[in-house]
Amino acid sequence: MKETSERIDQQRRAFIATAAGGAAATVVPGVLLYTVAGAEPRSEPVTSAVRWGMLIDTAKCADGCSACVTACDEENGLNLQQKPEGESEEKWERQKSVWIRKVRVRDNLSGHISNLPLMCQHCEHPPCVDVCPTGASFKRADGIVLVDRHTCIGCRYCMLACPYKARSFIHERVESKLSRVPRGKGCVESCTLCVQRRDDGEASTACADACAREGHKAIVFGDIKDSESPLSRRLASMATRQIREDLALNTGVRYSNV
Amino acid sequence: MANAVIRGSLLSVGLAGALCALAAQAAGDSHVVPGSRAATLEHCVAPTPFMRRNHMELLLHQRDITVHTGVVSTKYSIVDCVACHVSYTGEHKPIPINGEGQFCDTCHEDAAVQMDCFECHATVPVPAPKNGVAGDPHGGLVRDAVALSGSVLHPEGPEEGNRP
Repeated sequence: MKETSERIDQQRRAFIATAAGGAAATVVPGVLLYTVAGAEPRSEPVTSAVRWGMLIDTAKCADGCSACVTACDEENGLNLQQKPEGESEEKWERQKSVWIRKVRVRDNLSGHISNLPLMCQHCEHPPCVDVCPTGASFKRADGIVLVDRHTCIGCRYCMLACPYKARSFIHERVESKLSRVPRGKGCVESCTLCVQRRDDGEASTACADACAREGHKAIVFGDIKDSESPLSRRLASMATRQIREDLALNTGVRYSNV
Repeated sequence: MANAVIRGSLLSVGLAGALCALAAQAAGDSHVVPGSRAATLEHCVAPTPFMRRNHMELLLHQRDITVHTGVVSTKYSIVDCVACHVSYTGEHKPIPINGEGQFCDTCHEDAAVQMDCFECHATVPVPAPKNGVAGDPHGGLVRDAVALSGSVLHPEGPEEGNRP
C-alpha cells in the first residue's frame, strides 16, 4: 500500500505542470529535421531525434585525478572566476561556480570506495524545470537541461530542487568571461554538456576528451537515442545505474560499477 | 518696425537652418570606431539606418532562437557584433565595446538607454582571434544583405522602452 502511494506518477507531474501554466513546447510529431551533424555551426533547430547523454565508468575513474574538472573549467571559463575582494578563501570555495564535482563514495559495510564525477544529470523529467517560476530553466529538445540567463531571476529554487547539487549561483559581478559562455551576477548555471560544442558540430565534451587524454576513458559521451552510437552500445552491454533512481528522473548521465 | 520684423524672421530662419544642418550631420555621422573590422566594411549585416533602429529587436529575437533551439549560424549574433565592432589599442589589445567612446557607448550614452547585454556577455572577443583581428563574421552576408522579414520585426511600430 505504502509502495503504491510513493510510486512516482509522471502523468500527475505532467498534469501539475500544465495546471501551473507551464507551456511546454512540443516538437511537431512526424517532422524530422535532424541531419547528421558535421563540423558546421548549427543552422536548423535541435530536435528530439537525439538525446545527449554520458556514461561514467567509475571503475576507470582514478582517485586523485581531476582532469575532467580542469577541462570543464577551461572550456566554460570557470577558471576565469575571481574571488571578490575581502571574501574569505573558505567562503569563496563554497560559493564559486562549479559544474563538475569529484565525489568519493564509500560503502560502509565493505569499505569499497568509488570515485565519480557528478554534474547536471540532464534528467528527462528535471525537477529544476518543474520549479522554475520564470521558465528560465528548461530542457532543450535534444535533452540538454539549460538555464536561459535572459529570464533567470536568480531565485535559486532550482538549486533547492536539484537532488544532485549540480547548480551554482553567480554571486558577484564577473569581470572576465569567454565569448562562448556568457556569465553574470544573479543567474544560476550548471553543466550544459558543452552546448557550444554541440552547436558547433563537435563530437564530444571537454570532460570526456580530457578523460580520454589521461588514458582513463571513464567518460563516454554520445547520443542515447542512436542505437549504433558507442554510448548506446556500452549502455546496452553493461549494467548501469542512475544516481537517485528512486526519483524516476530518467537521467541522461549514467554510472557503472558504483 | 518693418525692418525689425524682417530681421527677426531672418534670424529665426537662419537658426532653424543651422539646427537642421546639425541634425542632418548627426544622423549622417558614423559611430563605427576606427580600427574595428566594421570600419572597413560598407555597412553592417543590414543597411545602417535599419540597424540603428532595430538592432535591439534583432538581438532580442535571436537570443531566444539561439538559446532554446541552438541555431548559431546566424548573422544576428551578439558575439559577431562584438568581434566586428570592437576596436584595438596600439598594442592590438581589444577595447571593451561598451567602454567610454566605444561603439555601443556613443549612442547609448546619448540616448540614455542602459544596456544589460554585457552583464553576462563578453565585451571583447575571448579567446582572441588568432591573427589579432577578427575574421569576417558576416561571411558573404554583408554583400547580399536583404530586406528583413516584417513578420518578426515592426520597424514602423510604436517605440518601446528599454528592455533588460
